[in-house]
Amino acid sequence: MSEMMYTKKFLAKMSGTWGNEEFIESVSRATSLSIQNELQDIGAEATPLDETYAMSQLIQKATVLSFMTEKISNEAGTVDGLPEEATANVHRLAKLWESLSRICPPDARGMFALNAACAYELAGYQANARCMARQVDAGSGVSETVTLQKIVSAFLQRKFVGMRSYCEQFMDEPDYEQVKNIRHRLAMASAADGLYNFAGQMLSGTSSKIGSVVEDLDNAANLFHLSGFHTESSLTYSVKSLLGAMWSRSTWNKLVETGTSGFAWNRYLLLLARGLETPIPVGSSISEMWPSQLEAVRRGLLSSNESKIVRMPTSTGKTRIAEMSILHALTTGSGSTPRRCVYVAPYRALVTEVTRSLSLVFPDLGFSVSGMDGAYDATPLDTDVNKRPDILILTPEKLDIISRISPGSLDDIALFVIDEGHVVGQGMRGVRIEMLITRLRRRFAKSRFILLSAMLSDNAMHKFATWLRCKGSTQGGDGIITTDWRPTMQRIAKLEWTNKRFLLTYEPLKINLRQRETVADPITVHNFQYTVKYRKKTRQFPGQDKGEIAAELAFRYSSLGPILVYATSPKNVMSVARKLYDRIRLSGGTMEGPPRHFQDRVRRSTTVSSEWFGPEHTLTRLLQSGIAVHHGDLPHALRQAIELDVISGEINAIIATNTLSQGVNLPVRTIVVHSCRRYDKKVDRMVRIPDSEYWNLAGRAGRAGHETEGTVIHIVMTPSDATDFKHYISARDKYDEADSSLHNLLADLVQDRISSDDLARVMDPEILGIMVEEGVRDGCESIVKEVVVDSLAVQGKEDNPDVQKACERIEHLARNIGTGALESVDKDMLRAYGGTSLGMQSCARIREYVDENSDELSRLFAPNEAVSTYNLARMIINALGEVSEMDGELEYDGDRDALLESWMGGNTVHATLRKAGVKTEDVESRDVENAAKFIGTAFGHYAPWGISAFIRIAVARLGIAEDNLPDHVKYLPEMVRHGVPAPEHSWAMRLGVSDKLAAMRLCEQLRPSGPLDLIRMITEMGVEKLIEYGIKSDLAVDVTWTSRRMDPNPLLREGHSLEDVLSEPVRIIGIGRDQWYASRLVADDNVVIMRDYDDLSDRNALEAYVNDRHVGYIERHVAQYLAPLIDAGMQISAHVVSVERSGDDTSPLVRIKLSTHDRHESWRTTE
Amino acid sequence: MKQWLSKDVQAHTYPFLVTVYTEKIGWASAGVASEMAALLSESTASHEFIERISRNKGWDENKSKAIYIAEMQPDNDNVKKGKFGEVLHGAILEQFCGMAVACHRYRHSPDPNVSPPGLDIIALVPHDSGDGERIVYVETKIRLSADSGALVTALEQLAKTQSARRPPSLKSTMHVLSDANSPLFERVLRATDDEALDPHYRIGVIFEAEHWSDSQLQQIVNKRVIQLMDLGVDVVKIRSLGCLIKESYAKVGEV
Repeated sequence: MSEMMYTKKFLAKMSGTWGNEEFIESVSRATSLSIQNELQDIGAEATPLDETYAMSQLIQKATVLSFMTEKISNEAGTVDGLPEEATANVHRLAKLWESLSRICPPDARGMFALNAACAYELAGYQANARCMARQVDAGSGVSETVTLQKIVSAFLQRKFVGMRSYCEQFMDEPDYEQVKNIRHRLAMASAADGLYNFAGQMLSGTSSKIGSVVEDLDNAANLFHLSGFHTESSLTYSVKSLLGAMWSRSTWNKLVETGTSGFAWNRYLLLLARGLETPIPVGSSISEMWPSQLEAVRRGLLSSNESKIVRMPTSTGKTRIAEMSILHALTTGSGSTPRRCVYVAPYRALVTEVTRSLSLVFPDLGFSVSGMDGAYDATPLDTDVNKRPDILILTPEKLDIISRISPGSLDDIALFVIDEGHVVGQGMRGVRIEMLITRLRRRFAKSRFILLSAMLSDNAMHKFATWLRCKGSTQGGDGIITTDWRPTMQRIAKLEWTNKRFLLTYEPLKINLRQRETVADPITVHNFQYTVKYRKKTRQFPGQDKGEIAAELAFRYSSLGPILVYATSPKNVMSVARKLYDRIRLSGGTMEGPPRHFQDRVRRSTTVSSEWFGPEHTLTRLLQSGIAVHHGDLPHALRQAIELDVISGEINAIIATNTLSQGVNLPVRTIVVHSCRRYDKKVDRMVRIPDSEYWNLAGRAGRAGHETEGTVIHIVMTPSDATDFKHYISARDKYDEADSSLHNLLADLVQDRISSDDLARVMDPEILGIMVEEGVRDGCESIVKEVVVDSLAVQGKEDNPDVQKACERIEHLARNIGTGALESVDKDMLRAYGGTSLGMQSCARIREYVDENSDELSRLFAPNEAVSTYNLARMIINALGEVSEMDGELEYDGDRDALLESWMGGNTVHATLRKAGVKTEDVESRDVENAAKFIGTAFGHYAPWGISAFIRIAVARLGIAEDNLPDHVKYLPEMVRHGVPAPEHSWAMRLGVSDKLAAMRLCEQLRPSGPLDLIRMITEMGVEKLIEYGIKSDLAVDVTWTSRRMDPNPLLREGHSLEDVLSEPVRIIGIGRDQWYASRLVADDNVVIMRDYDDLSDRNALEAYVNDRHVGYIERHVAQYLAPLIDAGMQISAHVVSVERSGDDTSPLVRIKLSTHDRHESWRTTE
Repeated sequence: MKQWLSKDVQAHTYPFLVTVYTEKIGWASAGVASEMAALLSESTASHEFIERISRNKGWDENKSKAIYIAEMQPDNDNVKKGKFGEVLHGAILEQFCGMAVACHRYRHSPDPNVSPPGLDIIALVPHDSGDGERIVYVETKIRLSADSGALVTALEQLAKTQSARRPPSLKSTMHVLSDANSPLFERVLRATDDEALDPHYRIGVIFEAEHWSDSQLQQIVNKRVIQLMDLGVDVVKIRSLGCLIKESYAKVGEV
């Protein structure tokens, strides 16, 4: 018989089963039952469905489908993986097993969950496989008995490093006296051998053992079957069927197909394979690419240097796509100079998130990573500290300002990644971002641009592709990479509330383009209302109030995972939050009390809220109770702390406006839509939020790897709510036409809806920027026009009369501004103007002020002058009063100077407010929130920008060499931003010491001579020392990590071979008692090298032991080089070469010689 | 076996099919012990397989083999008894009912506390129409003394094992049969395809003749699960059943 004896037949049988209406009806009823089961988990009793079908028949069908799937997969082997036509049905099978696992008797639950996991894995949904496998074993009980289920669970969670220690328990020859069933013992040993070797293969990329792995698992399955352990046997057959698909889809295979190779790529795959989570043994390996990422690779992401537009839903692995394109750019440069990459993230939180994510990979490849958020302020911290990082992550505003003040620093940028590219359609900011990208595209004609978005229509993608010159790609055709695939799905339901019951009606779940999975019937929930005696009265919750219903849903669903209640205004947000707070208090009066996640405790966000608003403020109390609110009126620092609390699982309930759905990737388990209309000033009425915003929000339901699907519940109380819900359902999968804000501006211009002043205000800084960048001496208007013509708004429409008219107006404006500028200022001053991102008039006003106060400023800007930084800041902020870009944001109803003085004195916001006379004791007062918001906006954003611009113009006007500027002037914008009295404090805060007092204390002790000196000191001292200086441990880890990611490892950067690294003796660094032991070592002592997975500040730490005694750590750069190889299975040995003792045994210099006998292809990476 | 037992089908007495097997002649005269010894011996993996895998792993193959042989001769009476019942019931289903046994779960652990979790037997039977196959899930109980709850226990176990035990047993069996190119594999496939009839469930109660009482059949009549199942009960009444078990195991060594 042929090798593919079953595939064709079984594919047809599977299609037949999935086309059988009776079967589909049974599946849909199982789905309904599983949802009811979930409702029971949250204390809601649903009307039981009439069980007219035979569940056992459904289980048998699922079993046979699993069998056929496994046979097909086995026949496909390691070359092709599961045939494409089987994938959708296998995905549905996985969902069926998942439903069955929720409704079956407890003894079958684990097995069904693993069946679901295996089917998900085969269908290409690795995150879902992980999620189902975790239900069997979350990996916390290390001391528990290891079973095959536990090993397979770890395997399906891809905890390859950790799983190997489970397997090792069965691989050695047993004590025969203790063996009770030799067949079972041999079966376990065979399964363990096979899985151990396969894990090694996935970790290291060698495929030489796959034949023996299959044989081991075959033997194991047979032995289990013959000894009556059918569950184990079945599971072993399931796992065996995954091997081919996993290997064929592995990063090792897929990336090699693209021709990527060399030292950095090999290491990259090793790093992904061991996993990016900490600690490594409990983290999951990234050894397979998601379908979305495979699609990107197929469409030429790594095989060409052409620009791409990438449209994918949220949480579909876009960051990894960016990561791969960055590595591609860094490793494909010509010549000896490494090329660099810029990642543009339009939100501060996103800068932080992307920096963190990229820092998990690139420093271990020898590349430096630096993040830079903020606005148009620029200090030497931006240009000096971040001097030429290989990867720079920054906001568009920061990129804009750097391109103006230090254009040369961008010369060797090979790749620009532009995240959330649709922001070009968002108001005046969008205009400036579009102009920036257009300017960059002109200037960096040979560089690659990759624009990422989840929200572009097909039409918009093509426009963007033309704009960024993606056309003509040989691989991707149109330069567009798009897929609708996503790891998690959203189950959307409307909730109607009638007479103490609610009715949940689910929309069909979209499996793929053709298939939908339906829930059998609407589900009625009876006991949703909570009745409690409270203060001698009977209280029922919720009433007929929408806010109370949303609060009740938040209360109940939060026990399943994080829940987001979406409301359209801060007022609604606070209202729901207060109701949820009431609900928690009500449950506090009962025996069971509130759930754990709603119990009072101090969280990161509570601390920040206390610092900003005080410990008694409503917001602080809400956060303390586990309720987070998130809206635009909150300070950035608090929003960021809340986001971190949600990500780390500290908070499970968030009530938010659209601030949370923008930018930062913060998926949740459940989303409740409380309201979807908000006030629109233009039309003076409430309007529906855009479809794209609704679906972008809904897309955040379901956390990849945590659950396989998210739930969106839209509360429907009125006919208007019902219409809105119907509207959004009909608009599903449709994308808004992404506007170009510049296009809108030009349309307004043609139709005279915008005045010349308004136009100038927007375009003026751009025109100055272009003049500086392009080195224009005269006649800038033609270049400005060229830039506009190259923009997204105009490209392709140059011949349109309206467009021509608009361009003429802009040309005219440019002529006026250009001529005015060239007439009024010299070349140096023009460069200073261009470096401010302010308009011509604003620059002129500053210059006038400088002229009027030149003597005073000369004194204040002089080196060695004892200057009050507060006075200097106050003087400049006063001067900025008439700068139109500050937009009144520096004006404050109360005593602004008092606020500034206290703020710059190093006080917390709350203390600042108190000292400035704000009545902080009134916890409900808006004064506190307003004042705090002012500090966040004025001192955190506008003042640093204005001060930075002011200093630039003053320096040019006063003829001071920038190198001679004293630190208190250079770093004044940073000092105002962070609210600290001395420059060095701002350096520490920039490195991540977010606690002002800690930053001040640290600098007092270290006394750094400059920011680079501070980075060097922190890099060398390590976490323990920082903690000794009073930095909290988690902060110390962050800070150490930040400083180290800026310091590339030369062994990696220069691509040293393993032989090189092992050829020289390496140092052992001892701490405390280690040194005493180390001082007693002698040459030739054998040293055992072990991985230290518990060191949270250094994922690559290698410990050295002699005679079971810890004698220290291997020096950092060598450990960073070797640790991924050891994690992949390389064996290493060592002996002492020399010991140089100091007099007191405190710091002996111990050198050891490392060696390995392994000669594995993956670690011989430079050949 | 056919010369030893007689079959009496009582089709209409209960809402399920009852078949009673009684001895036509004594088991000693029919040579049943030798036949059973042969069946008991062929039920497990050959020791060559155990030796080969032990050798591949670098383990002591002789020790593995010694343990394996010891396990073939369980010393626990309950284990011996259970295995005997399953084997005998399987033989009856094959020889009297035209069924083919696709998978036995031989209760073979030497540790009486560890009972391998699987169905006792998965069998196949052709449709009455002669076209297609039907799958049969079987649970067997054997009793040497009076136990009025044996049938209820068997029924409950059969019902309970529906979700937890059947899927892995069925899938594992399908893999083993297909890997071995067994003709039974195609029959299992036919028995589980979309057009196949629902499974048939079978309980075997093998009793020391004097301890069986028909009241057990009445006890399960009102069980709800009966409504959902196509059920058959085999009652096998044997005199001196304990001696037959003993003698059969005594002959295993000879086989």
